[in-house]
Amino acid sequence: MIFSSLLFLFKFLPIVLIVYFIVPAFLRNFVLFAASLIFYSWGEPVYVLLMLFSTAVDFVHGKLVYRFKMSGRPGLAKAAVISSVIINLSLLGFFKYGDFFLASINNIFGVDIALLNVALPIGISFYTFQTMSYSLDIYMNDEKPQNNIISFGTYVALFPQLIAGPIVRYKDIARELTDRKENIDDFFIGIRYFICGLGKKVLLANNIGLLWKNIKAMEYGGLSAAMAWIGIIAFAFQIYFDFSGYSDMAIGLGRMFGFKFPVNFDYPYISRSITEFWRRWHISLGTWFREYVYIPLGGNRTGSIKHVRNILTVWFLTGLWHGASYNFILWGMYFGVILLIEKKAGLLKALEKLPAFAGHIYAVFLILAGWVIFEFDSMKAMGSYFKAMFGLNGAGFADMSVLFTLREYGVLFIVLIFAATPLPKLLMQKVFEKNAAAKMSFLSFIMENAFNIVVLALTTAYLADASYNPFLYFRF
Amino acid sequence: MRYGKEREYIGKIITVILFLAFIFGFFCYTLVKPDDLYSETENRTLAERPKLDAEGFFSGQFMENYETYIKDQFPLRNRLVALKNYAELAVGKKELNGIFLCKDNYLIENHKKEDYETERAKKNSEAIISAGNRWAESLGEEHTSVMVVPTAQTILTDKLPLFAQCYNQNEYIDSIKKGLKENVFVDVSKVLKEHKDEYIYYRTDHHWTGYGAYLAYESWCRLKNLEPYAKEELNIDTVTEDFLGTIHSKINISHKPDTIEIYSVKDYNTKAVYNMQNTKDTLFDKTFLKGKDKYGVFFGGNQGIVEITDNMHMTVTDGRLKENYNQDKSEDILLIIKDSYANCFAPMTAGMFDRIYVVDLRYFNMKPDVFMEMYGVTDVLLLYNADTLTDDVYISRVK
Repeated sequence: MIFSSLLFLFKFLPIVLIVYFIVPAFLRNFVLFAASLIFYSWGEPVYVLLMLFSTAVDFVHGKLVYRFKMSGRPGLAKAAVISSVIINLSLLGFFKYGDFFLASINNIFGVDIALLNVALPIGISFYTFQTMSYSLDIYMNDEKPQNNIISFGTYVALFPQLIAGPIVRYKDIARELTDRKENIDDFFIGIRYFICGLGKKVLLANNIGLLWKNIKAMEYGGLSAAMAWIGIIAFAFQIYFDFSGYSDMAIGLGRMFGFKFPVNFDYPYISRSITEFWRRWHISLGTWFREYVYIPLGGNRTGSIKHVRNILTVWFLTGLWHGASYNFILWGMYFGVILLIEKKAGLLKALEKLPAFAGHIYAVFLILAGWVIFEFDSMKAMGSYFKAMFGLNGAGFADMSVLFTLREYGVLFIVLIFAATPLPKLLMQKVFEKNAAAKMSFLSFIMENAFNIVVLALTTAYLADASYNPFLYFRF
Repeated sequence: MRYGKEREYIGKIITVILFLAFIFGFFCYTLVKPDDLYSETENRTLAERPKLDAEGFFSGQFMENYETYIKDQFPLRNRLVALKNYAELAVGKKELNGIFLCKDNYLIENHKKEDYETERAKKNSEAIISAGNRWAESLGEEHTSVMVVPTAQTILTDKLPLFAQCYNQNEYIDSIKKGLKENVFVDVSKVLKEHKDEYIYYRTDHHWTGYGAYLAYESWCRLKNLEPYAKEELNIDTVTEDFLGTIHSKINISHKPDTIEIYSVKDYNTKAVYNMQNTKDTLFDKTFLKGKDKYGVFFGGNQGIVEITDNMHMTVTDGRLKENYNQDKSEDILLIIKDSYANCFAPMTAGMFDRIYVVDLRYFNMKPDVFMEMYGVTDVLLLYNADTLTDDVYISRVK
């Protein structure tokens, strides 16, 4: 099930909210767990067993790690952690990377091993990373294991963040799992996040995504340079508003139930370097890799060569995490190398001395080129698209369809640019502060509620019309 | 300060209540709203509640059907669709769901180049070419006609919004023309283009108007050395000024309606046999003017086969046997193989032949060649609009 659907908004969510707030507090985790299983089964009626298996395995491992650690047997504790990691990675390896691996072997050695042809379970990359963080947190960060398997199951399957993140580490919400207080203030903030996210996904991402879908389907040999740039810019906006919209909805839903999930996106497109971009993009994934891969490998304290190795390892894995295909590895390594150059070759310092706009142009250019790598799993198509962008296909700079596209999407692009910056937020703060004396001034009150209703009504309208509404993370 | 805090809290409660009211409002509405079987605006049956069984559940088919069901039966759906389109208009869009909002209140649907390059489109053009040439061989070139009519997207290009471009269907149509023997293909693009500033296509529907069809009718007669009826010899009745057609249904925003004019032959004592059973004295069914599908006034919608003649001739319902039909080849019999574009065209041919069969292959099972042999057809006209050829699966039966 996806959040941006009539089914979720007008059937699933109302029912879950009613049941959740009617039952006594000690049953609430159970309600969330059951709701999450239904939520997941809707999309994966079979693979839900896999998730339950992963949950049970990590629940047991967490206990073992803790017991061995407390009873002074670090060797066994370490073995238990390794066992947990191996099981999780095996699941991921089999279901997500199995065929990719076999196809690569077939390719390299010219053999013909039969592929597994297993379908990728939705959200597996998110929940295996979460369950791994559980055992790892107990081992490395002195977290206590969860005694109640329902509460633990709730952590793993929690529907708000199950299929598209943010990746919530166990230690972030360990306390809230057993002891949280739902209240109006949090519910209010939850609504704010949820509606913003819903609007970002349905009104912004889907609409600009339609443009990218059309351009991507064109013949690249005849694609004008301007159109190619418009296309990849459209995709950049689509994936940002889709992904951050999803995260916002997750954060908002979590908040309604009393959970505080970490922020996942922090206006990445205003970055002035790639280093900054990755501090602002999919923060929970970056944090995960830093915490459980980069730092355990020694981070930047192990000498220059090893530091380079650590960075490239992390970025190889980050790329691969996004999908079982070479272009994702290439995409990860591309950023790994740029980050190395920024850090090691002093580019970052040089950028800081330049005027801001130079940094912006530099970062945006590299990010957009990155999205081309990200979007095309065929190297040939990727090559032709790059050619089109730089006018090397001989199709010229622009044609009439570019003018029409700008005319059709001009207003939307302006809205997207505006919404990708912190300006709307700052503007709102201005309005609120001006009326700070009265705290909740009438004006800001009206504005907020009108905004909510308009976004809800428009979203419902777009969903009812069966508009383009893709789910982008089925490869993650 | 205390007062402010309290007000802030109340404000938050109101926001929460509004949000809950919205989602619970629709939730309850979906519970009480009875399911609709059919959508008049969209002219299609709506999804029904799917049955839950193990197979459907584990394959995911049930979930898919259920989501379609919710979408189809969602309360206020038509209004919500309209709301979406108004929102698109508000941000300056001129293309909604593949439909251009054009000058003079025209809605023009753009079928893209890719649609005309599909396997199906190619197969259909090949079938038409081979059938046309075969009939030209057996009936003679002057008795064989193929007419593929471009739609508004090709003819009314002047009306498109600034910078907008539509695929020119003449590329596809010309490939059919080139494949056919000389004088078999009736090229109506030129005459329609010459009259592009007149009311030749509906503004809200994908069909041509009676006048558009009349222009094509004249060209056809000229090419085939037939005497066309002059306008004075035809009744031109305005039957409705309140027609919102199929293109409009796709966007559903308030719009200026179309006028339907019926062109029919004056003083012709029509005898029409519908689907070999029902004899009527008219080619029109005015009850359709009360409903949504007003274009159905012609023949009462698409019929499998309609036989048109006058009360001087016998028909199958008069007890005349099939085998006797035109055995001695004394009658001129026209067969029109067609889509709905011919529905306003065919009535103008009444009286030009002894009898006319209007056949829609989507609802008629016999192979056209078998039919022609059996009924002694002397003339054939294949009439389709170009869009139909991109996805119709029945035309290939002419092959």
